[in-house]
Amino acid sequence: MHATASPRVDSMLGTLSASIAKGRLPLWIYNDAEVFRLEMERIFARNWVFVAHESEIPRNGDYVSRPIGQDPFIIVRGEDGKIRALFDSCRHRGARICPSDQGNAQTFFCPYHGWSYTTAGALEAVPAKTTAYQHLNLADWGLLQAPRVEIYRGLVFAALTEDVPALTDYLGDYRWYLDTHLALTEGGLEVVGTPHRWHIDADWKSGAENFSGDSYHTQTLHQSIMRIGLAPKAAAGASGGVNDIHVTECSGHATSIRRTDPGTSHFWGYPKDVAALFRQGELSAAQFELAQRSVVHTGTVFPNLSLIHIGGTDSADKPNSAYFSLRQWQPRAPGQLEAWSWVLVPKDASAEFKARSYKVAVANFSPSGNFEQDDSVTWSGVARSAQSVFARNSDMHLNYQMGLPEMSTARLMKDWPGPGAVYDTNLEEGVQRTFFNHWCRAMRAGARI
Amino acid sequence: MANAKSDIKRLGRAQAEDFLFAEAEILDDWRLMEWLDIITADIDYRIPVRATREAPDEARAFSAAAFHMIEDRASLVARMKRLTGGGAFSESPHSRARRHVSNVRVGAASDGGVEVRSNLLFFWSREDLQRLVSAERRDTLRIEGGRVLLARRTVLLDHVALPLPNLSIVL
Repeated sequence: MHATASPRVDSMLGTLSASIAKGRLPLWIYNDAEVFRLEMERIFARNWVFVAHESEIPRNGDYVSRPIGQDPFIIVRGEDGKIRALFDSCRHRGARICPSDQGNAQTFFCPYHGWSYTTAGALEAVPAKTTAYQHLNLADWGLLQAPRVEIYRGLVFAALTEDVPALTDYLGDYRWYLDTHLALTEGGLEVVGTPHRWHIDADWKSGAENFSGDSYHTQTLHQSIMRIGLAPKAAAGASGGVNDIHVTECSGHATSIRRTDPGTSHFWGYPKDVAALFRQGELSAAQFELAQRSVVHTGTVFPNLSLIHIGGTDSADKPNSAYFSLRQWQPRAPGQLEAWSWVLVPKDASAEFKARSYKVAVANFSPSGNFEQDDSVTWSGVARSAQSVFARNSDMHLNYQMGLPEMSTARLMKDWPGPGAVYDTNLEEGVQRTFFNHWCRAMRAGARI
Repeated sequence: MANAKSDIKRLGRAQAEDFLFAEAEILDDWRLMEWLDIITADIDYRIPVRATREAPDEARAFSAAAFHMIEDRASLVARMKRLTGGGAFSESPHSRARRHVSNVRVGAASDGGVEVRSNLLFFWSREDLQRLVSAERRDTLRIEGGRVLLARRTVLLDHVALPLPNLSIVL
């Protein structure tokens, strides 16, 4: 089952770790057919991959169709209330059994010959069984399913191999940061509506590495947002503020955080009635203080789940609101991704706030987002040059050197209360090097990281 | 508004087409601030997210809660200011776009305006990318001060995943 790599890719993977340590990344890995195929096998089939938020499938029988890498799965809550990831392929001829993106089902029925399955994936009925399949043992022919499905504070992940650590261990220390978003309210979060989906001519890694914490690009690429007043400068202006930090090498995940001054309370800019729902609860005092002072977080959970938590508005004439979005960079082909974006709101917040938060999120981070529109243009440029023969022949490497010891004033924070290697500035690229270090380990292991 | 009301009832297909074709020209020609002159102060502009659903849920294929765009006048003004004011890299240089508007159908009139449905085939191109977006537009046109204006638009996409790297333009 282990896919072999050509000498060309093997050699790149063999030297990549040392190369990343020097802040050098070969351009071609952003658009390469063999790298892409290996990513499907070594990364997406061997790591925990986000598939849904629990609030999308609240009732028994509720399902959503979701890819894991490029493989089609039905994420369904069975009659027993348990969530499973069923492979969307009939055991008889392999036809698709769930043509819908979402819904509620009692059974999944194959339109080809009529085999039908329970929401737990068991083969339930076969037409003409008593005459045509007298000795068919239905129990042997249930749908394939992802061997592991686990949930962390509402986030549903699936793994296509048994051989992964528990999800809590995979998220590891990064839970300390995730919890500042997910555990702030008693009732938790819920997804608003249906996720956005759109096609970008860029590699999935461009989204993943950018959201790891590319704090350096906002002042240039997103300058128009500040010009028309859709985001506060504190959230999207020049990086390098005294309260800006980068969390690197946090169980393989990373996050970038901008904060207000010590002793202040901002909570990403949530209005007072929503901030009143936030309580320390299961968080430590340090986590709660971080949430309190937060202006913006971006982050990536390896491999392709990212988050943004930020404030802004859809018009300078209207008040700011905060919004929280999960986004996933689904690999479609080398240099081609399908972006998915969910907006989440505190379940206990008012309907009025939820509508406002969603509207502000759409105005900034969505296919039409005034922020996000600009990202896709630059990322597609990366995929375009990454397939260049000349770039390969010239051994073109990209510069990921910001924050290396000899390069900037970034310093590890010795007194930071949270986990990870945390830098006292966001003018450093250890967050992106974290993503590629993890990518390299996953690609080299040929198995789990 | 008493006169406007009687005008509304007289809006015929030719008038509706004149409006939609002129609007398409304004948008295709990137005269974005001019477009703000032909929409009402209370415009409601939305593009709901579509999902593939099976019967009996097919009627709910268009989300009532999720939108690619959900706009009022202020947010549309902000978008146009961003796109025309420099530094909006998604449209620098501008994408090339052509709106093909057809199958115009004039429906019921009310105090709010006249319902007009049309089909939109939207051709989009940037650098070497070329894409088509297909949709039905459900508009409400209203006559104010003798001018036809767009008061409401819901764009019903024929796509579940938008085949565009971004939606920086209005459909």
